[in-house]
Amino acid sequence: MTTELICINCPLGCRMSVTIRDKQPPLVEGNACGRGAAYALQEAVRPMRVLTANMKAKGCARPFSVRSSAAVPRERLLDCAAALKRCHPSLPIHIGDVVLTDFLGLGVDIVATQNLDFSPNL
Amino acid sequence: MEFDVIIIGSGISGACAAREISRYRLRALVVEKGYDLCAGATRGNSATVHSGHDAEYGSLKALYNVRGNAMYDALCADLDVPFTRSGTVIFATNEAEMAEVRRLKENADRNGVPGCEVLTRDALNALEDGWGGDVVGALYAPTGGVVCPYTLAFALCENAAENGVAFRTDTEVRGIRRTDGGYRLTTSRGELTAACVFNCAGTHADEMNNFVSGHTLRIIPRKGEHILLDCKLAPYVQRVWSQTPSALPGGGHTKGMGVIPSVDRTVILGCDAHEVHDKDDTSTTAAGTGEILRYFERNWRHLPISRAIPEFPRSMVIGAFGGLRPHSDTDDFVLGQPADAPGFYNMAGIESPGLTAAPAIAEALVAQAAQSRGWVKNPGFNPLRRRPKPFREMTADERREAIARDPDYGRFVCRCEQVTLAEIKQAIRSPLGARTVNGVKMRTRAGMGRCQGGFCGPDVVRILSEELGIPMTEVTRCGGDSRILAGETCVEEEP
Amino acid sequence: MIPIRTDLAVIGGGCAGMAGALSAKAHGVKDILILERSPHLGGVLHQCIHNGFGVFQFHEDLTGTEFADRYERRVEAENIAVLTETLVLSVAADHTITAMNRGGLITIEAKAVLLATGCRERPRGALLIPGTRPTGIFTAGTAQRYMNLEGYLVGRRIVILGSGDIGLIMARQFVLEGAQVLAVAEIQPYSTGLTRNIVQCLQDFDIPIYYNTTVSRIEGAQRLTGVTLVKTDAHGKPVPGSERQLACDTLVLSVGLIPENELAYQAGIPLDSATGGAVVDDRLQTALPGIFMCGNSLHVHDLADFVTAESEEAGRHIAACIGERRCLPRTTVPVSDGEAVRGVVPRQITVGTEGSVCLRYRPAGRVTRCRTAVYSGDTLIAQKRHLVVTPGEMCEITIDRARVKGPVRVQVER
Repeated sequence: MTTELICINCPLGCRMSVTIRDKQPPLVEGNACGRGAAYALQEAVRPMRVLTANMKAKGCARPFSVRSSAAVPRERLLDCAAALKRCHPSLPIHIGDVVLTDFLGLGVDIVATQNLDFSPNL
Repeated sequence: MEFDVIIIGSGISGACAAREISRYRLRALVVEKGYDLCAGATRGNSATVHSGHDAEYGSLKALYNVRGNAMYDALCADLDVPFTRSGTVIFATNEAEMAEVRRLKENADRNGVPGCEVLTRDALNALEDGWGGDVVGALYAPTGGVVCPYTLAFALCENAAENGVAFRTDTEVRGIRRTDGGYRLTTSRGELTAACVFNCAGTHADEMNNFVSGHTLRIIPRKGEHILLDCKLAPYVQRVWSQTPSALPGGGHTKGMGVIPSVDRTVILGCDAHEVHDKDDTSTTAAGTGEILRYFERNWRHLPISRAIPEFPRSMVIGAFGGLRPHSDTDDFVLGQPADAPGFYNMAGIESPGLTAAPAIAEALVAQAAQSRGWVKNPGFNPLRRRPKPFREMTADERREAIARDPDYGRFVCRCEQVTLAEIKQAIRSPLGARTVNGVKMRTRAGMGRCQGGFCGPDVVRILSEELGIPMTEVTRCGGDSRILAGETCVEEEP
Repeated sequence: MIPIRTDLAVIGGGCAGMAGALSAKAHGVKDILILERSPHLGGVLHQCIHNGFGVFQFHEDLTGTEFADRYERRVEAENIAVLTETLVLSVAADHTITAMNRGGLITIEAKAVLLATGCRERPRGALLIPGTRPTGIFTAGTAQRYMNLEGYLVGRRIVILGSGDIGLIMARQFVLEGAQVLAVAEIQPYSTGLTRNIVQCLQDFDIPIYYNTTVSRIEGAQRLTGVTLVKTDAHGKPVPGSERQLACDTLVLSVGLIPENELAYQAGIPLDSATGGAVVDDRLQTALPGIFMCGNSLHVHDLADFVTAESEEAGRHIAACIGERRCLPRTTVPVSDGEAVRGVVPRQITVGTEGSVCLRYRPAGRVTRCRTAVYSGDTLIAQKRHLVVTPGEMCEITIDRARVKGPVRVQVER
């Protein structure tokens, strides 16, 4: 069985195909690099995505952005985003701060990607 | 009677009436159905002060057009409203159109329009270089001009308010009955009574009249669409340009397809004319804007601007809007008291040249009312209204002084139109001030430039939220259901 | 009032301005001043919370915010002077800059100027989409700002017009925030954004994308209530009879970016209608000596990594020019758009010097199995094979200056 897919690792967007074969390793074609091949194998079996989203700190109307430290299963993205809404860490927040560890038991951390250390106004 | 006078509508007619009425010591009220002032026809038109060369001789339009035109310099000086007497060129591209030019000149003379001349192509180019294409000559009407219609309406209202007239917006008149001593108005915000009423209700003026008079009126809304071009083109357009009316698509319904150098430097193209059914339908259409584009693509080559910019610059289009002309089926203004409704003064059917004529109409009608009702002059009437100078018009020294006095002048909000935080706060804080994004836009021009509010929009919403003390999610574009934002993010959903 | 004197004035503190300033510093320019109109450096990257940045510059996968932060920290470490909340009002040919902020008016005299003023979004008005003018219509970047900087959702039932990257990125963000994205309509037969975004923003969330489709009417008196979608033909014209209504409360426009060049225009700098940016030579210098341009104001990029790479080149050339005391005019050959190519930058290449020049351009359409060919006169001087090129992805090709003998032409051939 062959799956066609487009790599999302970098802007080249290589069009690849993954063929799952009986009693042999899967065949990846169309990749320009090793990361692409790895992505293709994973994507054909269980797609994973980096989560990027916003959170709000306690008592702060402005959001700050976060990312997952590694990819999470694609089918969990929506409930990850919903779960983040329930968390309101305290200020200050700096880029690189680990805001939540082992988020939802998925083995990834939620890391801040923006600085928020004041209540900004216009 | 609660009031001596109620004026229905705060467009150019109602605003002119309000200011005239404020010369007298009266309990006066303006009711406006929109959330903000000037919500109707005055908001969407060609911004042109017409000379009167094409108004039908003997009509009220001709009379008040010429009289109103002459009032504009003094009126705009008193109210500190920018007005440019740019002059109008009506160009002809063949002999048939040139014959029409001559007829227009005769008509202008009969109407008492000063200074009109028939020019050959050479004489036209001596006046203004660059006319080419098939142009054979033109009518030059030096008294034509440009003004911003809603800026003028706001200024008139502010001056009227300062002189004692009350204003209520978001108040729609739903019925009027004659009573002892005057009229009872049923509005969306309760009942009101007044000894006399000025009907300045734009496309709804027929409905107002027909509540009280058996001499029914019929207003047919005629939509005109316009296209806006980037103010980069302003230096190339000094006068109002239009081809002879009969040559234009839409034929007789429209004054013309003009190029109008607005006082705000945006160049306005338009407009066509189509009857519509909905009296509040100002939507643009593919057919309407298409007609304007096609006309100018074909005829650009006649115009002086084509020397510098040979092809119609489609990439300079920044927007389009529609406006409704309240056309009366009598083909003329309907002014004054119907025989069966004394004290009810119509200013109805105020389509083009309505903007030009309104000051003169208001002056005449209010003087008439004052005499017949024995109104007493208001000794404290102040005809002058001053606006704070916009930053974009200041010299470098004025800017330095303004920033030193108020650092909010040093903080830009709209960089396309150069509007500072100080001016936006003033627009919100002043009497009859802005409470919506459109209100800020129309008073300051923030959001009217090339990026159409893409950058400054969120800042304007935030400033309104802070100044009015409301959450950002309650800030609207123009009142009612027009909230900008749907909700806050990162809010837990209800289980 | 006493003017500020500096070697290099950088107008715009986004990643283009920051990278250009850092590169100029690294190549020996001592006094640099960055002028930025918003309260922070980083430009639009401040609201780009998605990842995919830094892949080429840092060999890492960063969010836009992290990518900007790298440059902001380096600007601070290098002691490059910065004035924020400062708007430049004019730039003159003699490099005199007038700016303003809460403190008043400022005059700056600089030996060289780098224009890095970015771009703006094409609004509804420029497209002349017919209909009413309700609330609920936003360009994608404005919706992004509301969501990521202010913390607000612009609507709940959203239609996106245009498959530009910002719209695709926002589609995903809208869904993760709990809104519905009903459709993406794209007038071309292909996406104008990065292919990866079609996958991770639309396919991942089952959001349909309709090609050869546009919005022909907007409805709603106060708030948007719906749009009319219509199929378009090969010339982008609506096909009558193919209309269908879609009820929605929000229309997000992602229909193109326009370089923001009011300052250049007022300074009299010739602009290239194919790119919207200044006509520049291979030093990224405009027609006015000592005034350079880079980043999205020169031509709209797809990737911040390429913006900073280009800006680093600009910084290097600026340093050389300042070193020379003035930017001496040189003999150049023109570079033109050949078949299937649009908007090659730079437009002039210096003859008689060594080294390489990176030419950046967009194909005029989507072409598979092709090559980019660069000719000097009739001689092929460089070529590059592609599986596919598409207008949504800027291309680069490097040529050897020594091989440039006559007018250069870049084209895409089968």
